[in-house]
Amino acid sequence: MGKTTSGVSVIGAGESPYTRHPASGTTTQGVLADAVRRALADANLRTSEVDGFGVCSFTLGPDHAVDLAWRLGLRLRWLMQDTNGGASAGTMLQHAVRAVEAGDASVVVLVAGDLMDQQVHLRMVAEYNRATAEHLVPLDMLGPNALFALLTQRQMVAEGLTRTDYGRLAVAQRAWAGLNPGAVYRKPMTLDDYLNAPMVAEPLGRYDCVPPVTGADAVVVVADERAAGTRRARVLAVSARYNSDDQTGDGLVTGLADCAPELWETTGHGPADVDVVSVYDDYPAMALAQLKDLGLVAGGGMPAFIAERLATRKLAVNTSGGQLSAGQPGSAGGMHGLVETVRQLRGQAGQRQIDARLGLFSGYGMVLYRYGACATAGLLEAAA
Amino acid sequence: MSVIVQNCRTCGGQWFPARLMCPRCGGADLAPVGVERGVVEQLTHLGDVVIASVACDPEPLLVARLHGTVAVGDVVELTDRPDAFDRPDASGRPVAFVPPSGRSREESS
Repeated sequence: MGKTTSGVSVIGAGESPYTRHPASGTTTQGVLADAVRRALADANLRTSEVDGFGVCSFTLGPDHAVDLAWRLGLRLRWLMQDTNGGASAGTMLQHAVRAVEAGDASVVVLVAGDLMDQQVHLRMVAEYNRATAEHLVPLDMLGPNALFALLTQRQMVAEGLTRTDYGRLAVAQRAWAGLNPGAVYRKPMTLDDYLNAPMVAEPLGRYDCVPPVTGADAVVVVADERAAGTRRARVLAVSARYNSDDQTGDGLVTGLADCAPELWETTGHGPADVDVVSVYDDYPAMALAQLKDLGLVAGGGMPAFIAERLATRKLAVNTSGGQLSAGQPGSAGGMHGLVETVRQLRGQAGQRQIDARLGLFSGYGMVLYRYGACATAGLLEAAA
Repeated sequence: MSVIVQNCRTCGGQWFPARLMCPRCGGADLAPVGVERGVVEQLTHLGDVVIASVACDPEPLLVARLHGTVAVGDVVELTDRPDAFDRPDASGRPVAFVPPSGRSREESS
């Protein structure tokens, strides 16, 4: 059972612009620093006021969190380094909220990001973990596309979905991306574009797979009393599950199925109260699995939910375009949804701004052998 | 032909990849056992490479590479030898390759 949080808010968010082809000389440290700088400027704070810092990056090595803090000129009393990739935002936010509540830190910056050119990406997917290196790479299988193709086939059977259903999700996210100057793919996409794209691993085509980008995302977390009078996103609850099923299931239910009741019970809200949602869309199937686990797919079944709520964009899901259209910046993918949720709740979402009071974000990731094993979610509320 | 998985001598659970303790009972007595066959649950193509989810009876679930003409629901012979495709099994069944860990490769050779 989770505990409600008290008096902790996100008061700033920043994103180092995503790019498919980073300029020569671009470094992981450089894009992380850029996101930190932008988030602090957004929060109207100076580095000298930061006393807590958390980072998740696959490509920071051989440096660690303290090296990055040093290079940023941060003198700290609270420091963490996270490794949960797509779930890192929730992991770090869960810790940061408690640190601020406990008084161990008062201003925490959380950042995630990676330099992700093709060479780095290939090395990362080949050496993702021991199981990948020993049991998947020797199959001549580089990267998780085939695993999620198998999972998507299971979901199609279980939920009665067709490729057209997944296409509707991808097309809707591309429409949101058209309103986000920070998305790498903004040109409108039709269902035919989706269905006629080259096959990657059936049933997954090109537009089911996220484009790797270089970039970073950061947020600033503070005690509420420090945020008085500023437009902020109050953290109502954060919940996490790791290795919820020992990889023995079908992968269609994530740890979020256990996080969601905790979020609702501790806050007194329910899925119907949520105005804006960011789920981790490494593949459309996983975006749908998370929406279901979070309780957002009401009675009528998944195909009807997609047609009536997602395709129409009546339910505001992945308003940045998500990773499918905005890009997947390595481990910053985990922070991308939190940044978008904060922007929506703080009224900073530009053309894609919706009238949002309650925002929900979720993260998912770290494929162990058959599917991802880390799941985190948080509920935030607009406050002034 | 077979693939080496872990068998928990306390609860009978079967695991792959190798665990450090039995996820079901917490036992530490995990012994290598050979599993010879499985059923193809789903399959997909990465170019010419056929990747499948293969279910052993009663467990574990494996990620394998298939060779030849295989359909969902087919029984496949499991092997941890990458060259087994060149030497079809006498059974005539299709072959599914599951790469072993460094340790079980030594144990099985």
